[in-house]
Amino acid sequence: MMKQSFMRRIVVPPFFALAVTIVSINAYNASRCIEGRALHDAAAAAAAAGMVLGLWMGAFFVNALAYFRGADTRERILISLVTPLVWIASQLYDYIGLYPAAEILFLVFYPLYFQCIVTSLLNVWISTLVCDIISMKRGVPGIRIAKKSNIVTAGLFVVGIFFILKDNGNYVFYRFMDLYGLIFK
Amino acid sequence: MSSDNDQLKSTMTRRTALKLLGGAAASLAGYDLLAGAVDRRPNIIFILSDDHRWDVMGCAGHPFVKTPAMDRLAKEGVMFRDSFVTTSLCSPSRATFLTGQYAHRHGVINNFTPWRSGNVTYLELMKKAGYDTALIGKWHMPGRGLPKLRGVDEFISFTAEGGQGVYFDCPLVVNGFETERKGKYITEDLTDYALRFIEKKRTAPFCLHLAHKAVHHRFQPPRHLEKIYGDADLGLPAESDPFVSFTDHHIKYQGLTGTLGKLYRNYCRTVTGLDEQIGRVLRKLDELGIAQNTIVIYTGDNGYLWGEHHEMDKRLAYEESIRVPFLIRYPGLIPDPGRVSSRTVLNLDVAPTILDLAGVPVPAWMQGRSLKRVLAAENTLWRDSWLYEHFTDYPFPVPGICAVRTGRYKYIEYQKGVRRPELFDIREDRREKKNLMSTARGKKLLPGLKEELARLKRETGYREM
Repeated sequence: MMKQSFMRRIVVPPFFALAVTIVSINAYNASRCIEGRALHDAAAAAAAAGMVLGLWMGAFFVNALAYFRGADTRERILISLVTPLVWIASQLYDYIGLYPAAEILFLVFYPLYFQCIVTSLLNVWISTLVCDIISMKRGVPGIRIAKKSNIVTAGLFVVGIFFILKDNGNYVFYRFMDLYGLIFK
Repeated sequence: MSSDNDQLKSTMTRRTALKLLGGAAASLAGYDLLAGAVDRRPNIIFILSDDHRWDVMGCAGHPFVKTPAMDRLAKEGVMFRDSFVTTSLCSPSRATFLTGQYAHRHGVINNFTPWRSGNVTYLELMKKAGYDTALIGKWHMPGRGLPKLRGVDEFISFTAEGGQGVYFDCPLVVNGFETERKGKYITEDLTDYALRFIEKKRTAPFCLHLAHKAVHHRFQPPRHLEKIYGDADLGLPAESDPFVSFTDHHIKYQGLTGTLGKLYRNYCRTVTGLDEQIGRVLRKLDELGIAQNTIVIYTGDNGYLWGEHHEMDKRLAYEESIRVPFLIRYPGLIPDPGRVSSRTVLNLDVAPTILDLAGVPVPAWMQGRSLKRVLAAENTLWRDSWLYEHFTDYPFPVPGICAVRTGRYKYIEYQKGVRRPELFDIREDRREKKNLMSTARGKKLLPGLKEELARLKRETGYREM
């Protein structure tokens, strides 16, 4: 893939996901001002779909866009995490002053935030597989899907997702709380 | 054919009558006569639920939730309309019920601070006074496993999920022994143990503290109630968001994923499931013939926000979070059953009330007040204001809170973080939508409320922790 400019390769792809997320979060909050219940719910649902698309699935599109603009793997991982990291930072802002710095930092392991990062990485991997297949079909040489690293990655994600979904996410939540208790209490 | 039917009816009537007579005789032999001969003090059953807000009961006017047992308690006793918890969080509130003290006094300030072994519970005092005692159900206070509780004959609880327990197959610790409970629904299982305790032949009266996991999240009703209220119009508040559980920190509990409506429907189902079990307790009292001399108190450890203020959960000082159901049935004392009392009662009041009703002296260190006089007569001088407190509880982004609530106003101070003080006129604005802080009226009211808050802090020995 021909490597395009820094702007087109690194700046533009994550911008879209970030913009969709910011717009949809604000649209969601603004939907509270709508008086009619049905209209309010419809607007909130549309905005919520935008949030899912931008925040939880954004990495899929960011990675794909960057892939075809010649970004390498490290660059694609990094820019795919921009939206989740900005969102997590915005969430952690509310904690400033409430808990000691070490406990706020520990929140990075908080299941929700951790899941957001893991989901984004999963999106990067799936997106890369899709892009590889498209490239192979286009006749780009030297691309292999069935390789050891993909199998190992798939295995890791299956295990990770199993734990994330176990008991509707409660399992991970209580393990996080156990760990917090062990370290800080 | 008709004569056969008549005969059958007549036989059934005779059978039923014989059964009833037998039951009554057994109960007289087993309870009333013994009680009359030995001890006439009332039995006490204190039932505590989790996260049950005050208005999700038929008797509180809920549009569709069916709670016949709670309604019966209200009809045959007193329902307190203005009942509150001094800290809207499980562990601190539970410790307050047990000790009659504020969280800053008993020391369980959040779900992470351990129970102090020096704390004295009302059960300990009841035991010293000769009562048979049991604590069955949720303990949920930090520490290594369950504590060795003084003054409790039977202690049946659980430690799963940090003491929160689970609705199905929740292992119980029965008097120190871990017991698998496969196939059991926890509310029913705990009630089974409670009924066994109630049924025991004894010469002393009993005092039962029955603390349910229900109706805490994950709001799982028993299987047979999974479909009820499927078509009910939920009537959620206008400002609530369908996906509030996904936003603004509410996803903290992973179990809260789902739309607000789905979660609320399950919550309502779980309330009805809890009510069924309360009904079993009441029926058992009838069956044993001891209902007249048994005080039943029902309340919750905190309320719950269902989309109001764009919030879910509890902790905050808003009405939905701090108001709880509060029902007391005691035929021996209440002259006007079915009364709806407007006296302000707090979780602090439960321990002193139980002691007082049992004729046990209320220790001076308890910070609540006995409701005995209020139960006997509504026109009793009572409290005008009270202190609400909340301490941070990791990982929730809710700051420490101090608030004063009077009969008409509420003034809320947040200790740190991004939230700003709030002042509401509860009488005119029950939903607390208009913060009066920056208005001329608010500025006029503020000094008096600040002074009242300072007075309550001084009187209760409040300190930031």
